[in-house]
Amino acid sequence: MPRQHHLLAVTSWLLKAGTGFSLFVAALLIIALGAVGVAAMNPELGIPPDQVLGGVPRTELLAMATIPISAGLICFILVATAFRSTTRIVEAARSGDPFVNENADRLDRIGWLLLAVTVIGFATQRAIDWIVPGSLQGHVNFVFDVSPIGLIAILLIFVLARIFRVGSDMRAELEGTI
Amino acid sequence: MTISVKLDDLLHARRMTLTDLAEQVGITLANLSILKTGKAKAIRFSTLAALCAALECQPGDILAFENDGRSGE
Repeated sequence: MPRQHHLLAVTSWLLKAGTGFSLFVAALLIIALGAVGVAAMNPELGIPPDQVLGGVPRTELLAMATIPISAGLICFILVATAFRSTTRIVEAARSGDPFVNENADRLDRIGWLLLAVTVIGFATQRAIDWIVPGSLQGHVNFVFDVSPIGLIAILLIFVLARIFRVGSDMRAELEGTI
Repeated sequence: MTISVKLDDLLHARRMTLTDLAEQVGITLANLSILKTGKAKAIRFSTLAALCAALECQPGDILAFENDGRSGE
């Protein structure tokens, strides 16, 4: 098997593992959301009703917790979808036929998914900074940075999608050439 | 507006089969059949030249332009 096939096989395996891991984390976040819901409905569970952290009442604290958990859940589902689409592109490359319009659509989808993750992460970070009082900031462990390299990578994905579309159109045209 | 391929007439006139022509031209029977039935999107100059050589004709003998009043795809 040529080296390139090995590379694609390993990439495919890593992407599948990434999809599985993302879905696993999403499942954990669903459980966490459920736990927050159960704690909200049962004052005797979780944080004692009389206990407050940083001067924030229990109900508000639980409401705050749902923001990063929900955002994380959405992001991990989006990332799992992006991993899945990337896996399909790699599988198409392994089969020797990557220049098809479906792959251009997949790349477009990946670009939008990653852009959505970036926007959700950024908005969640700003929301947390705004909602969580200063006395609690030290307890919050949610850090999301929008990196210029990440944004350039997303832009490159959109450009690559365009190249794939043109390439697949050219190939389709060539296929009808005798 | 369409380009029609008149391979059938030429083959009939020269008493040749599509298989004979495919062998002489060096392209597959499947591709030649696609060309003959008008399903091809384009033809390479090299293919056209090989067909002209095999059929001893000019490109205009193989291809014809038909203006049916509709714009091309």
